[in-house]
Amino acid sequence: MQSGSNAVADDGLNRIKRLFTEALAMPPAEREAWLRAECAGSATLCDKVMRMLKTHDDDTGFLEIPPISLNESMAPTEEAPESIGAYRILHQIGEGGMGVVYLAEQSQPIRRRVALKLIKLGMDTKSVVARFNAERQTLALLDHRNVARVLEAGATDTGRPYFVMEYVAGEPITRFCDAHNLTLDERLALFVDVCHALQHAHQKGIIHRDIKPSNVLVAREDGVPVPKVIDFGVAKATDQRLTEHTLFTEHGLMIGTPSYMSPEQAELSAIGVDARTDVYSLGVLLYEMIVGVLPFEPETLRRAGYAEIQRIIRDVEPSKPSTRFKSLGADTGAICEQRRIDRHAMHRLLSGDLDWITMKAIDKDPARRYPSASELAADIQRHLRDEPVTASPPSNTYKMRKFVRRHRGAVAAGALVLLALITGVIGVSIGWSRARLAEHEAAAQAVEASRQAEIATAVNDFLNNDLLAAVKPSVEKGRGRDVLMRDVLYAAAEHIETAGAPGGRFADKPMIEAAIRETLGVTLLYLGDYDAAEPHLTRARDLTTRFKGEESLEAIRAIDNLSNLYQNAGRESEAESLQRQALDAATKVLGPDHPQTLVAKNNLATIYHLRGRYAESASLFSELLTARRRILGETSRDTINAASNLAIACARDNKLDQAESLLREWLPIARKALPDGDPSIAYFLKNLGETLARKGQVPEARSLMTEALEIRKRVVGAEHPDTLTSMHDLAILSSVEGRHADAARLFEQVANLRRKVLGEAHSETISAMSNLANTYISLNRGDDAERLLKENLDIAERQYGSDHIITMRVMYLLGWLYLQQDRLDESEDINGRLLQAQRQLLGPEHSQTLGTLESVASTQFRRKRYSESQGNYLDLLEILRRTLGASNPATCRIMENLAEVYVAQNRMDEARSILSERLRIAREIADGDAATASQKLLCARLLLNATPEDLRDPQAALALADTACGMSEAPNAQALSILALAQFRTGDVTSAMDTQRLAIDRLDDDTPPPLRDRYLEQLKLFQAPPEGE
Amino acid sequence: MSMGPVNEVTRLLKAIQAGDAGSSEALLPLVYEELRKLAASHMARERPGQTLQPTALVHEAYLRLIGGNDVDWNNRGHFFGAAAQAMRRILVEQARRRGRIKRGGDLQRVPLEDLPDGRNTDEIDFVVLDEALRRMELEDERMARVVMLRFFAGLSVEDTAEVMGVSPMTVKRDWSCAKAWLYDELNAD
Repeated sequence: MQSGSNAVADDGLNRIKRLFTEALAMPPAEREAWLRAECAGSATLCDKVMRMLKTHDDDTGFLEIPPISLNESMAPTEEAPESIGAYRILHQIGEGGMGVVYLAEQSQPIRRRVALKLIKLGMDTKSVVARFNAERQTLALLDHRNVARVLEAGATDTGRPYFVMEYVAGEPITRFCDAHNLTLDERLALFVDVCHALQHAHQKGIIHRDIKPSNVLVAREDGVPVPKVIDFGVAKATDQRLTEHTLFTEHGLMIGTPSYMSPEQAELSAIGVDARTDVYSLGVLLYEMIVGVLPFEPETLRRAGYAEIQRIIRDVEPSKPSTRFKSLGADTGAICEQRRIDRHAMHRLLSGDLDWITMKAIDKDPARRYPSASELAADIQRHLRDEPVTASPPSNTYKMRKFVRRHRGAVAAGALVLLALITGVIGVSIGWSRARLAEHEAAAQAVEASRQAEIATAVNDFLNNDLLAAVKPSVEKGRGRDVLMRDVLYAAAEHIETAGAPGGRFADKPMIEAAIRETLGVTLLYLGDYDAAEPHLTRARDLTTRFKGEESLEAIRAIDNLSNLYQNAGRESEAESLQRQALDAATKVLGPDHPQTLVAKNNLATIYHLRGRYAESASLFSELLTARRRILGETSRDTINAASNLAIACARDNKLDQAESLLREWLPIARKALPDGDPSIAYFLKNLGETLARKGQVPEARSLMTEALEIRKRVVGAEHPDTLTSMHDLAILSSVEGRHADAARLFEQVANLRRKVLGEAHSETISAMSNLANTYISLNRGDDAERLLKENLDIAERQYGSDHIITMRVMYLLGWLYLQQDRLDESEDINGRLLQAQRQLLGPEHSQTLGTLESVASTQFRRKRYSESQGNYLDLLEILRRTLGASNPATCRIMENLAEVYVAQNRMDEARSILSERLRIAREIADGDAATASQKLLCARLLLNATPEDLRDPQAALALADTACGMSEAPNAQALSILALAQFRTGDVTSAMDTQRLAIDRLDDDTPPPLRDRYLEQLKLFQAPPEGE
Repeated sequence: MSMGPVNEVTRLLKAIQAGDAGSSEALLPLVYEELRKLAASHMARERPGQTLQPTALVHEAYLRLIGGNDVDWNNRGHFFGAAAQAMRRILVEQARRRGRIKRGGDLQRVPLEDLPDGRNTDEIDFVVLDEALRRMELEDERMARVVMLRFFAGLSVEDTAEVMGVSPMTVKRDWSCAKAWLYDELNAD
């Protein structure tokens, strides 16, 4: 209505209305962020609209009064009588087929308002009153919150029958639901109350016979909507049956529609009317409440003659709710809006339970309906709780899906996988066929769609009959949780071998076999059983390639899956070449901008990343980001993910500035585009925090990581594994800062919580324990570290065996501890054994193997077995140069150690050669534009301490240390101490002493005494006479 | 007594439809007078302190003033417009008489979280509501009209839409926003 560009006019209520209306259409979680952005600069405006939204959501009932209806009650009517019987007539409140309803007042025996229904002329008054009175005593037994009682029946002076009942100031239930935009679940909850009211009546032997929206009114009691069923006993007393007489007025006009009337009521005989008759009408009411329209178009009924109406009610099978909804096509906008749902979600929600429950309730055959209203209610409640409903067709798929959903938490991984297994195939097939549709003519589309449908059906059939049959008995016995997904899958895998073999069920249906293989393979892949997955995914690739061609969509997908398998199985070079093949084919067949092409690109970039080829990975992610930004816009989650991935690749590639600026650019976008508390936001914070930490900007890093932790605590809970990872990050940060005591406290917390949540043998628990032990080592608490590591080693050996990577990491740390403590025998023993196992299991070039090799070389050095140590360091250096590059910190550290070994052997030329290379690299890095403070300090330290001494350069070291200390507002003790040494070596003794004192000042309270002593020793060195240097 | 106004109102409604703007002005006093009388008789019956329920009153006024006369939709709209005006005036007057005027510093701020559900007209300060509605009328006449018809004339969403000649969704959106805005105006400062 109002254009946003007109800033002046668009500032008052109009703007508020626009903001309110647009925000209301969003998911609640997204509103605040959106509003904050929209109201930039006006917190007052934003707060006001937020308050309004809250008021709206709270549904305070403010200004809400039950409306009157012009159509029904305002129609010109006969003059209202002053009084009827003992009741004074106030005014008319409704008019229906049978007569007029008045609001009336009773003065005796108590003063109260009642509704009085005056039956139209033409009814046999005597028999109406007699029939009512016959049931009157039973009616008096009705006493239920959701029943409005009929109090009395009588006859006016002019002989017209009337009924007096409790007055309900409410609206018909369907109108109430729509007026208040109740969601499907809220509607179902109201409907359950209605069922209970009917059940109550049925138990007293009272059948309502005329359930329809205008007889189920919703009133607010203390702000809570309460449905009330009115008119009990009236239908029976007035003998409402579908007769020409009751259906049409004397002028041939139809009174209302018989939409809610059951087939047995449509029979003139009227035998067999029982509780299930009400169940039928309830079913129609339910249908209307959820779908928004009646099972049969009222217009159709209206146009039909009497006999035709009977035929429709008796014989015509109505569409399922989901089908009926779909058939409404474009007319569903208002229906969806009234249910606060979009069209697809609505269709999905209706399909399944709600279809079956409704259809069971309105079955033509009373024997196949719910036997009682309470069973109908119970099934709806089961649906609301995600339990299997009794109305389901006899399908294992369905039961399994229910089982999986109900145990979402308990069997998370397996359940999700199985869910994906069951629903995924169809979804995937349709998704891919859609991609394909764009390129084909309409005729081809139809063929393709039906072919896809055929495959989906066949796959589902296989899952039902072969796979899930195995699960069924356990589920039915309630042993659901004990079902081992793997067993089921392996059983299915055997079936497919038989079915796919020559003469088997799928021998001549290669694409069906491929689809099933794909499903099984992907599921096994998710379960982590790569060996079992491989033959299926390979076969799927072969079948699709052979029968569809290498550049077919089916083949591309199959290749992508196989690549995914190899990636997970650590066969990264195979994964890479397959993924590149998939990307090339997708680019060629689908075009560079197709979503599937972009997915393939993302996957290839991920593989590069895993292979440590960060620059290539970053360049692909960068292409991906550009494409997605252009196609999807920057607020799309996919675009944001691409930005996040690019930033991670940059950070790994040590392009920290680039990573930082990307993260700083995209964090606000993510905050704005994604719902508050979205996990991606926590990832952005974590990654930016890590990047800044590496750049030495620790305080900001800490605040970002703390925010990530807070979000996770709030969104997923304090004990969620992601939350614990965030705590673990902060612990590592403290550890990096040298705040070992803080780090130890945090690691202890994480370790304890992980032990509780994940179990003591979980790899992450052991990782936290190991880090804790490592921190103990830094805190000089060697005994605690040793105790912890040994305990961990026990757990890991028991759980994983001694040849497992997790166990080996604990062993490595224990060896490292022994080395630190100069317990060289023990170090040599444990590292020797470990190295052998690692070389065998992980390969000689695995990073853990190399770590142990370094410990071994270091131990040999300390034992003065220089030539052995030299040999090992040389091996290490060769591998690291080749795999990580010459300037990698690990490579550099080995160069320094090797130089030391040469010096110890007095092989000065070799020492000089390796150390000058090391220094050249350090200076290159330290002089680079992106150099961090710690890189500069490292270089300064090397320039100060190099041996042979002719490589030292104190002036250069001073410049570097000075710059480095200037980069931080409060340089830490270590940085200051390096600066002090540089000052001392360049002759500025006074400054050196001042700086060193400041360094000592800045030492943490928890600094281990030996380290503190080293700082003090350096100060003494400065204080000594110059010639004593 | 009852025949007079009935015929007069119907006559006026027909004149309005025929394009006589003056009849529109003449309608309001008639409707007001009828509603006021009805209100007085309701108040005499209700327990002291009770506030009038607009729906019932307007409903009753309609029956009395138009009753069985054949009046088409367009004209009913005029009637309800006038009835809403009248009802609003009556409720404000009633509130003033009761000395429930709370303004400025006297207005009690209620934290939103503490508000009980299911507020009814008893708790509404009609004087403040009237002022807020005036502000709304200046800025968004359509939304104010929705409030008039929905609240003061007691029409349903559908009927309001029909009377105003807009879609029910428009009425709903305006109504949602209007309620929230008014609530905020009445409860915040």
